[in-house]
Amino acid sequence: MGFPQLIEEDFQRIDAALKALLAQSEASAALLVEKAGHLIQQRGLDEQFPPDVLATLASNAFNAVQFMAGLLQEDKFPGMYQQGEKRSTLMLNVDENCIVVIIFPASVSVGAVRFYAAQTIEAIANQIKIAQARAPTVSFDLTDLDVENVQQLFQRKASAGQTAPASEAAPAAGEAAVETATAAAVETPAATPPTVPPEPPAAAPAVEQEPATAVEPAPVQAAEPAPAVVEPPAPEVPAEPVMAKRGPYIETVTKGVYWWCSCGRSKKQPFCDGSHKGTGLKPLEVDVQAIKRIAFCGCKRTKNAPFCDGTHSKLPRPAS
Amino acid sequence: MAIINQATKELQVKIVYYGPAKCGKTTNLEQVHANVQVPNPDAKGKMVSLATSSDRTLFFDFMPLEAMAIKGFKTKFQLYTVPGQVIYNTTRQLVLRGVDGIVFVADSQYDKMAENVESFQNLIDNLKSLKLNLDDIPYVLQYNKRDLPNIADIEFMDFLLNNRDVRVPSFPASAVNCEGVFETLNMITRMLLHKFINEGGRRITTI
Repeated sequence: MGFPQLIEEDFQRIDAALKALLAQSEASAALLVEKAGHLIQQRGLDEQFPPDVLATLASNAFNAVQFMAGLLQEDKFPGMYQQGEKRSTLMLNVDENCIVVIIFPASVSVGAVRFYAAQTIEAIANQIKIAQARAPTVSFDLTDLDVENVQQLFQRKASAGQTAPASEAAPAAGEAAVETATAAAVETPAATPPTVPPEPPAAAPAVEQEPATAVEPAPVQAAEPAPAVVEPPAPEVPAEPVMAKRGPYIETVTKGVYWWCSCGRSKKQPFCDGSHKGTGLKPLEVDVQAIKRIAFCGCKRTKNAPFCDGTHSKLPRPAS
Repeated sequence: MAIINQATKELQVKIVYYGPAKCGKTTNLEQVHANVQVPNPDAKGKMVSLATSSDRTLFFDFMPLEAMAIKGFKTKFQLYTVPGQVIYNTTRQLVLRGVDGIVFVADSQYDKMAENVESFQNLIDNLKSLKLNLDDIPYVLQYNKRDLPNIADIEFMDFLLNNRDVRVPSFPASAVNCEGVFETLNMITRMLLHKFINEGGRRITTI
């Protein structure tokens, strides 16, 4: 069972347990930390020692040591003690979900802290059990909350020479993209073809994007033209293929037979339309077994026809 | 998973930046840390880097970020990176514990495509070992290093990395120049919060 939702009463009890520990053991601070790194409650720390950062570091260190325990075939190491010159820390396991981190003066004996902490841990573990037992009946409803003002949560500081913060560039399309992504994720779509990709809201202006092709086209039907049946005698040396595009053609293809253009002269890229006549080059037959997306080579120099292998990026660019 | 503190009206969520070695995960966090606008400078957390002497991430980078995300709710975002190097796999599993949202940072350079794909698969495998499924976790893709020569087309990278049943938003970026960094962060936070709202009424905390 995961970490439960805590209510005011739970926090009060946990806080009281931590407070009692500080009073009894002379420890200076105590934190209850969830093992993913979240700080649940703390007593005794101020801004000098940021509690959330301490919580994160402690939980990750503790997790790492538990991982070691697993490798050494120990059930678990119940605690971690670090002795310092002025301050020492003791981290103790509460249950599968959380730990207590105690910071105390180095002059105080760790045995004493451990002794008093045992009661604290028991009290906290009990309170969490109570919360867990209560959890099924506590419904926490976020549906009435207004998430519209999440819009641009984090804004980039405008620096000199830069007028508009980059984050403002995200258009409303981003909103729709979230709807698509989250709604689809929740509804678990059946074996329908992949959804239309949400257009990335804000492209860095320097980046060229292929315009309409970014949106997934409807699957190409297998009824593509068969290669020309009658061909003139091929020349002795095949002609050089023409680069149809510096980059792949990404197509969703259904089951069927396709002919990939290898000469680069076809007007129906990436498929053959018979234009190779007289070049000595022949299209490549591609037998597709099931609907899939394929990146067809557009530069016609791939070493792994008909698929793009990135060769186009190494081809010389025409002098401009 | 996310922790909701009903008493103090606080929501804590964990976002992990994942990706192959040297793809710019730490740079993303550094840029957010350096450039984020915060109404109250104290609310801007410290960035912690557990790195080797040569500045490679050893355990993780961490940065807390606070915002009023939902009316009346203070949201604490915990941003983490994982070490990208292959040998640190157990460390990546540790950092992924309780993750709420993922930013997968890919290196746009052509010769890094294999590493991107391998790292993405590694993410799926590591989530599996934590009994999590990528389909249930909001994530976005960032195609970083667009400022370098010899980079792959966005389309091609989408084809390699964004080819699951549900396609997710992807962002071209140049993290060293802070381009695309905030777009990515805002989108993942937005997807995360939408997810919580869709799950309203259900028990949210599960591990």
